[in-house]
Amino acid sequence: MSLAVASRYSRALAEVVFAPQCPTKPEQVIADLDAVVAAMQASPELVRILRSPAVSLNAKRGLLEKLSARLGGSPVTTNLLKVVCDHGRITLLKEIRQSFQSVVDERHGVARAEVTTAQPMATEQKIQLEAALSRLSGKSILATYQQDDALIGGAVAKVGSLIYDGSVRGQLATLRRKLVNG
Amino acid sequence: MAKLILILVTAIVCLAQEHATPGDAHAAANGEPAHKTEETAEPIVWGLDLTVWKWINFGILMAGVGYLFAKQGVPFFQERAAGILKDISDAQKTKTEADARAAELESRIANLGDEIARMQADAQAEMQNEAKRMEAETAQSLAKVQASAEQEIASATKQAKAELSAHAAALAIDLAAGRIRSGLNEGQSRGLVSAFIQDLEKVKN
Repeated sequence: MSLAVASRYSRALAEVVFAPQCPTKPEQVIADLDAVVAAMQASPELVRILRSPAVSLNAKRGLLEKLSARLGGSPVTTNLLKVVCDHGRITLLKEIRQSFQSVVDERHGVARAEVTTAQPMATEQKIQLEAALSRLSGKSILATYQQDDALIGGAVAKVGSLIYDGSVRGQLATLRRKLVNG
Repeated sequence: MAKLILILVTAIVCLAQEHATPGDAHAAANGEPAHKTEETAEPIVWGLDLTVWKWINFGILMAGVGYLFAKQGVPFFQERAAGILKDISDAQKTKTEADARAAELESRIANLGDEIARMQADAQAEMQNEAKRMEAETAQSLAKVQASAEQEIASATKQAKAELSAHAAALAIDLAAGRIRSGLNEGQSRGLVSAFIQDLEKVKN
């Protein structure tokens, strides 16, 4: 439910940001939203004020305007914050940011990949892996890499909702299922 | 009852007329007080003898009483007689029924021995039937319990086998994971990643 709502706001935001006359870049908006989300996570009092029905909408809008200005937010971001606050959806800001990121990636033809390996990967392997994933997804890959010893060996790549598991742990799990099921 | 009262009242009125003396009648005829005639105490003879009048009076009284009795009393006594006859008839009927019942009871008492023997035989037959039914029911229940127990044992065996298989698989996998981990060097690890990349390149989108 919240994801669907966040998706609506993010798509509307994308329409504004990707308009030819808009001076603000999508990356700028994402950075602004990251800053606001970080500020809200750091200050529960701020969230409480923004959610409180006892505080007037004008006061909330003023507060968000000041916060955005202090964080160096763009006018587009400030407007988004005001609209979201007016509709009582300020707690969905993190989801809106993530959804907006997906929309931006989609418009740029980018797919984000999370690659996990047991050992650090060589640069050459990273290039090969990104090329393979790009061919599979049909988009350019923006990959993030992390390590997990539990994999034992091999790698796991997650692109969107697809998971490609080439780890030893995954193969052992498959073997275990086969053994149990006979 | 009202009719009887009417008859009695009429009779009393008629009898009351008898107390009037001839002196009273003479005095009444002359317009003098009655007690004055009594003081003289001389019999007055006027026409017929008084006895005749008495008889005539009595005859009229009797005719009236007879008329009233014939009109009111006869139907009353007829009704009463019919009621009494009906009561007698009912009593007779009741007596006949009671006699018949008593006769039936006596007949039953006379056959009591046979009746008891028949009842004993019935009870015995019923007991035998009941015993057979219970035996069959017990056998059925026993079969059901046995089948259920067999099913339960089979299910438990299957579950135990599955658990054992899962445990053995977990042990084997853990052992394999440990061995692979300890025996895996950097080159082999890279080789695994390369193999994964090659597998991805083979996948058709």
